[in-house]
Parts: sequence; C-alpha cells; structure tokens
Amino acid sequence: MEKEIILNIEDLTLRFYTYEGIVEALDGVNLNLKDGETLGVVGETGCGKSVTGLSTLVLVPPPGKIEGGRIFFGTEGKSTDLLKRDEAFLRSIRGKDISMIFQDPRSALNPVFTVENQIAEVLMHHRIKEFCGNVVGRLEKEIQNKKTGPLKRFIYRLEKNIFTRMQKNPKSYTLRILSRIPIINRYKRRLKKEIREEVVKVIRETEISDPERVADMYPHELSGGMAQRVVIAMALACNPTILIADEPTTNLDVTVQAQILHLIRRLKEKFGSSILYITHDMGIIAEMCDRVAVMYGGVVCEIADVMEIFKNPLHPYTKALLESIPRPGKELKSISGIVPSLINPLPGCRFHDRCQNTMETCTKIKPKMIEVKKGHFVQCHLYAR
Amino acid sequence: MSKKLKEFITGLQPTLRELKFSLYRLKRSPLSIMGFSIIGFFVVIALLAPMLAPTPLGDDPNMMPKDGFLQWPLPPSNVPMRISTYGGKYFQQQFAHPFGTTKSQYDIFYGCIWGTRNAFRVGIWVTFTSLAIGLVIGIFAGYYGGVIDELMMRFTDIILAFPGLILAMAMVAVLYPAVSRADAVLLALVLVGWPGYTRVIRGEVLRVKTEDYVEAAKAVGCSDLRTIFKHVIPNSIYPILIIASLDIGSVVLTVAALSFLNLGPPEGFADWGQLIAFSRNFIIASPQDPYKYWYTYIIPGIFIFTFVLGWNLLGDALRDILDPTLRRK
Amino acid sequence: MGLRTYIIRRLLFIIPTILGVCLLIFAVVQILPVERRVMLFIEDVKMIGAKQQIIEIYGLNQPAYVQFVKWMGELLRGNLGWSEVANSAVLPAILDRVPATAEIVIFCAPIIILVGITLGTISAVHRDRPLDHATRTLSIMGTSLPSFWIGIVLLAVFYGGLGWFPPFRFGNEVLLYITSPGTPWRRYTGLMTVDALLNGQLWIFLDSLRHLVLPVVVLTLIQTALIVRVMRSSMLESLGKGYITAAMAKGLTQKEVINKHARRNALIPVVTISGLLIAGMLTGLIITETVFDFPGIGSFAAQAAIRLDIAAVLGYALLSAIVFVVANLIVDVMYAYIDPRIRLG
Repeated sequence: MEKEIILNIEDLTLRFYTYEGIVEALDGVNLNLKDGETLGVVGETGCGKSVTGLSTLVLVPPPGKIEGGRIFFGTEGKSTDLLKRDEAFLRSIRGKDISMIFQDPRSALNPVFTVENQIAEVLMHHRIKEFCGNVVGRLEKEIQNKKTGPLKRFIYRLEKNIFTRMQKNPKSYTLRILSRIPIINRYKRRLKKEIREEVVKVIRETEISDPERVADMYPHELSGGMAQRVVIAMALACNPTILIADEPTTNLDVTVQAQILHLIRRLKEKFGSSILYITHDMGIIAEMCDRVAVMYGGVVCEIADVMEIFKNPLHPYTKALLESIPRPGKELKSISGIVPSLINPLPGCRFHDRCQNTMETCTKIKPKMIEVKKGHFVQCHLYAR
Repeated sequence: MSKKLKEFITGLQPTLRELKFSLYRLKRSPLSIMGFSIIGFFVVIALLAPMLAPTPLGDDPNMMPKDGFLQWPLPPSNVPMRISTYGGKYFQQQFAHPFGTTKSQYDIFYGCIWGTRNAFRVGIWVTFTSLAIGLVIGIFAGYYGGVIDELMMRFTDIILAFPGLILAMAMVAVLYPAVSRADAVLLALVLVGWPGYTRVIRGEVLRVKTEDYVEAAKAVGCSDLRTIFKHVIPNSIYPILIIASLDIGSVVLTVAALSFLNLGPPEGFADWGQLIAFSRNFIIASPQDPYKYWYTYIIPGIFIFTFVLGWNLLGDALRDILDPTLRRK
Repeated sequence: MGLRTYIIRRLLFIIPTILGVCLLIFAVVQILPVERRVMLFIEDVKMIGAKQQIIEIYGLNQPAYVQFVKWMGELLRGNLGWSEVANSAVLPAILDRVPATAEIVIFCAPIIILVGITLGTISAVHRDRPLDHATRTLSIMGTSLPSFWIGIVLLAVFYGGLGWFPPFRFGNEVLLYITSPGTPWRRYTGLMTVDALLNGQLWIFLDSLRHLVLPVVVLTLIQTALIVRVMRSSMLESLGKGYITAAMAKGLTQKEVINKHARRNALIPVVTISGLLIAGMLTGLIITETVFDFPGIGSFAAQAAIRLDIAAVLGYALLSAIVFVVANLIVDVMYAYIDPRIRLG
C-alpha cells in the first residue's frame, strides 16, 4: 500500500550572501516525505541538512536566501508550494502543522520565561478558539446549574460573553483594551487555568514524572534531557503533521539519548506524525528511520529504504560513510579529503574530489537523480545510463 | 636555534592572521577611519603647537597670552597682536587672533592649540595610570583569590559607590592648599578610574583562569607569573583596549567639566574647559546681535567635542572589530 | 532562591558598603588640619565662635578611631556640619534644594527610559538601514558632547537669541508673587509645577515649565544616547540567539517575537547600566544646574567646591554615595526580577 507523499521538496536552491563570498548552501535538493514515515537526513557537518529543515518552515535567517525550487506541503490531495505563500499562511502552519525540535534544547528555550509560559505560547497562538470554546462550555454548565446564585450567574454570563467574542475574534481591539484594565482582566484566569491543564497534559506525554512542578520551572533549572523533552512537548502541543527533528540528541548524554529516541518513537506512533529526522549518526538512522536521504555538499546523493541503504549502498559517498562507522576489531576508516567550502563549489558533482570512482563527466556535469531500483534514488554518473 | 625560531614563528601565525584581519576590518570600517583621522589630526596639532601658536618669549607655554586689558572679547581678525611689540615680550613674526579673544583678552587660538596638548597629556596620563593600577590589583585579586580578592573588591565597591565627578570635587576641595588644583584633579580622576579597570580585569582573569589551557600550563609547570603573562593577559586585553580608548574621551570630558566649574588649573592656563568658562558672561549679548561673541564658546566647544568624538569612534570601532562573536558577520 | 530572599540578602549587603563609604570620607577628612575639620561638627551659627571647645568635646585631638566613632554618632543624628556657602547646617541646606533637582529628574527619567529603549530596539531591528545609521550617529555624538557646552549653546540660541527658555527656576514676576508678604501661595510639595497646579495658578505652571525645558533637554540628551547604544547592542545580541528561531518556528509574528522574547532579554544589560545612568545623572546635574543657574543640589555642590566649603562638599558626596548605593540595590532587584537565573545565587 503506497503511502501518500505529504512533503515534497523539489530542486531547492539556497544561498548565503556573506562577507567572505556567496555560500551555495543547497544546490537543487530533492526529497520527499511520506505520510506516517520517518525520513532520515544524514550527512556530515556542513552538508546542508539543518538548513533544509529550516527551509521547510521557510525560516532561513538572513544572509540566507532561498533562490529556487518548490516545497510542496499537502494533505488529502491538495498541496501548496510553501515558497509561494504569504507570511500569514506560513505562520499558521508553523508550530501547528509543521513543527521543529532543535539541536540545543537550552538555547531553544528563552531563559527568562517559565516552561509553562513557553508551551502556552504555542497553544495560545494556534488553539485559542478551542480553549475559549472549552471555557464557554464550562461557564454554560455553571450557568445552568441550579445551585449558583444570581450574582455569580450574572458574572458568568458576562464572562461567557467575553469568551464567545474571543472565540470569534481573538485579536479584537475591545479585548485588548479590556485585558489591560486591572479588575476586569481577571477573566483571563479561567483561560489560564484551561491552558495550564493542557500544558501539564502535554508535558506528561513526554514522560516527565512531575509535570506540575516542571511547568513552573525556568529553563536553566532543567537538565539537558528534561529540557529536550520540554522542547518536544512544545513541538507536539498542537499535534503537527510533520515533525522536523534537527539532531535532537547530539547534545545529550548517551543514556539520555536512548530515552529521547524511545520517546520520539512512541510519540510518533501515538500521534501519527511524520518525522524528518536530521542527524549525522548512522546508528540513529538504523534505529529510527524508515527511509534515508544522504546529503553531501548541499545536494542529496541517495535516497532509499533503510534496509536497502545498509545492504546495498550505491553512491560512493554512502559506501564510504558506511565503511567509516567504527567497528570493534576493525581498523578505523575515514574518507580522505575534507568537507568542501561551499563558497566556490567544484563544478560538476560535489563529491568528485574525494570519490574513488571519479570519471571525466563527474568534473564537469552535475549528475541527475535517477531511480535505479524501485524506491531507490541515486544522484551519480556511475548509474546514469 | 633556527628550529626554535621557526617554531616560534609558526606559533605566531594564527595571531598574525587575526591581527591582519583586524587591521583589514579596521581599514574598512568607516567609523574607525574617521576616528583615526580625527585623532591623527589632533596629534599633528599638538606636535606642531609651538609653530602654530608660538609662545611670547619668557612665558610659560601653557599659559595663554593676554593681549591687552579690555574685559570683553574681540572677534577673530587679522589685526596683529600687540604683545608682539609690547615691552619685553616679542615674536619674530606678527601673529593675529584667528579665533578672536575671550574675556581679559586671552587668545582663543592659542588656548585651543595648546589645549590640545593638555588634553592629550591629561587623557593619556590619567587613563594609563588608572589602567596600570587597575591591572596590577585586578590581576592579583583575580589570580590569587581568597581574602585578598574579597578585600580588594570591597574597596573598589566603596570607591565605585561615588559618582566620579563628585569624588573628584571632594578631593579637590580637600587637597587644595597642599596640592594644586590641576594636580588634585588628576589624582582624583585616577582614584576614581582604577576601580573600573580592576573590575574588568579581575573578571577576565577569573574567566581565563578556569579555562583549560591555564590548567594545562600549570600542569606543565609554568610559574604563576609566566601563566599570567603568557595566557591571561593576551586574552583579557581586548576589552581593556576598548575601555581605555573610550575612557580617554570621558576623562577629557570630565576634566573639561571640572575646569568649567573653576575647579581646575589656574586662570589663564590653556584648557578648553576654561575657555568655555570664560565665555559664560558673553552668551547673551545685545538683543540686536545675540550671537556676537559666538567664537568664545563655539570654537573651544568644537575642539572638545571633536576630540572626544574621535576617541569614541575609535573605541566603538575597536569594539565592533574585536568582539569575537561579531567579527565574521 | 526566590525574589524575597535575594532582596533581603542584598539589603544586608548594603550596610558594610555604606560603612565603607563613611570610612573613606573619614579618611579623606583626616587629611585636613584640625581647624578645618571642625566645620563638620558645627550645627548652629552660635557654635562658630566656639571652635576650641568643639575640638575638645568631639575629641578632634584624639586618635582616629575615637574621632570616627564620634563622627558616626553625629552623622546618625543628622549633623553633617556647617556650610559657609549656605550659611546654615549642611543637611537642611541640601534638603531644601532637593525639590528643585527632583523636578528636573522627574521629567527626565521617563523620557530617557522610553525614548532610549524604543530607539534602541528600532535601531537593532532595522540594522544597517538609514534609521539605524542615523540613530547610531546621533548617539555617538550624544556621548561625545560636553554637557556644559551643549547647555551654553542652547542657552545662547534659545534664550539669548530667541528668548524662549530662560535660565534659573522662575521669572521675576513669579518670584515677586511667591515672596511678597500677603501672598496666597502655599508651598505643598516644593515642586513648582505641581504646586502651581495645586495653587490654581496656571501662569506659574507654564512659567516653571519654560524654565525647565533647557535643563531637562540637556540632561536627557546625553543619558538617552547612552541607553540607545546599550539597548541596541544588547538587542542585537538577543536577536541572534536560538530561542528567537524557536519562537518563529512556533508561528509567532515578528513583532511578537521582538516585543516578547527579544526585548525581555535585551533589557537585562540595560537594567544593569541604569546604575551608570544614575551616576551620570548625579554628575550631570551638577554641571547642568550650574550652567542654567538652577537652584538645586547640583549647583550647590559646585559652589561649595569652588569656595572650599568642605562640610558641604563632603556632605554632598556622602549623600550621593548613599543614594547611588540604594539606587544600585533597586537596580539589582529589578535585574533579579527580569532574569530568573540570578535569583539562584
């Protein structure tokens, strides 16, 4: 049964205009993510995997500019090119349909705000209407309840009015003014309570044992593992379709790594999200991913199923990468040469100066992505026939 | 022998490369170019002072010549100075008053030119001395820690509890008969200045002390002094340079302010602040010609402003360039 | 640790500092010969003639520590000595002039804070665009201007030339009105603007505003320049941090990210520099008040210094130090409030 493609990156080109020159960070990246799968993006530092992740959210910081390509994001038959949409649409997607987990959890969290504050931020931004609805529902029950006195009923009616308004238009002017007046803005407390409940629930999902306490803590009080769980909670708060995980375990201790990986896997099963897992660690790829995309020098060299890649690597770089995985008893192999500077990249195939099988064409023409076997794509002249 | 030399030079390569990069950034940054040119301009003026504004023979070069006894200022003109032929005091050539004269006929041009020398002298002396004292105390406090550190820090806290100018004023008032006002000002500013440097240096020493390479150096057996000189100081130098260059500007401003308040050198000394103090009575002239005596306050003020601006620009440019996080933007 | 504990700790910390300040002043005083030191103990006109007796009573001939204890005793009683310039005891003389200075400060402070933070933020957000360059140029120039010079130039233009904003605190008519024998003027707070409104005399209110314009402008100009510079650089640093990208990835608008996330963090260095700001104000006041002949504590201190009135000068120094230390305490508390990392010791 063929799974549907929900993210399709075609020919993505990205350049950084820096002091020292123009960095060709991505040069025609092609990859796609299917519904419900985990796609691993693997490569050395500097190959462009992180920027690919950021580009999916169209969040590349200046001096970077996306210069070409299409990023199709779509569910249920209708998909849209994110690069052509306006900022308002993109903002409605970020955090809700596509969200991101960052490499260094401590720097992804703002040190001056509590955990609750930062998770509530996502909830407020995307699900406010839902919460208003909940509050209205509760107030309605209180109003219907025979036992509440007339004064309370009156106040509840007022509050219900406010919240129904908020549901229709969360950013209305009247609400903003009302929320500044000291006594009247106590109505916010109800909303805060609702949201806090949800925040605690989300934190509990990430297997943190005392969510109430953690919600009130500040980021610097959290250990690395806990901070990363909080970041995961933030990302999953609105049940996104796609989760981009940018090396989430690189900065953590090995034991914590295993826990976080396990957590991500479990949450994926529970919420049914698709994951774009960016890493440099082939071991994690083997653990977590269904398919793998290998990147080098700003291009994708090879995409295939995990088993297929390990059994039958086609691209010379993939082969070298697999061979360089340390194995006890075996000599440590490395790939000769160094990661290229992308400021004046080599013409032709980006890997040709470190490749064992370089041919004449490799130095001149960029290879195209070819489907060598079903579901196994390579970008290499060796297979161009 | 040549092998050791080679090693030394290779070891120096990264430093040289960074230095070249710094100079490159310095040359490209418009701020620093302006700053350098301004300061260079003033250096030239200070060096050429005796030629630009020669002293009447027999006079103290730091005192402005008085050309007459009129109480109110005369505008800039080419009329030659009378003292050039006045009994006993003479020049070889005729000099006029290109900037006019201020109260009591002090020549403004002379005051501004020799005031430049004074500004450099004061600014550099105070900054250098504060820096030196602060460096020594800061390094000791930071490196050895413990009781010495605590005591030093308490002491600097107490001095820092006084806003600078106020402590300077108090010192001048107290020291007066014994110490001349000008000297008292300098001493007071040094007293007020060194805690700032101590704080920064101590902070840097503490930071560098915990770095691994210092531990490594000690493990290899470097003596304390050597560790300090070789490792701690070069790493702490950048913020100090920035602060020092900004400080020269602020010292000159403070000295000018004190002279303006008549708490500085004696009357007639070539000092920018004094010149402006002289102009106070002439700010408001007649209703028909309110800006009649503009030259008495505008000209010396421009000198002060530009001088301090030059150092501030330089300090700012240095900060932009030497800050490692912003270097490669 | 919690905010409360932090505040208490800092409060306790102040005591040794203030003691140290007194010690330092005392050490400075010891430089003077005995006859001049006497001025520090005189409280009343009548005591001037009895100098020898005072030397006996207060033990000015005895060893230093005895003198110190006696002097501290006097301080705690509120006796800061006698001022020749004011021809009265020091403390009342200073307190008498506080409202005038306070009036300037009250107008300056909000402007400095609001304008400084806003301009600094805008400058950082629009980095390297024309507005940023203009702001940076102005703020560098602002910190290079001698405050007394800009005061003089402004006086020349706006008073000498245009006659709009006079020096001193009130015009002649107002002075006559307030000091004439049967006047209905009641002094409520000592602040001319407030009192004028409370007395229902709008013309006095306008007049005192006129007199306040130039001193306030001069004082704010230079301090604002400093705040703009610091805010800009700390905002730039804050905007480069990881949590900004993370916040954008949550779907917030750029405005929200700047105002909520970046700004709070950027305010931290600004708060710490507020201490410097207060010191700058205390010194700036001395100069500004002198230039504009404004009868506040600043000009009093300046005159005292020129006339070598040590009791007044030292009294002023002591009081400013205490004010400064307390102000720094408040600043530290605010810092701890904004940045939770500080509270944990």
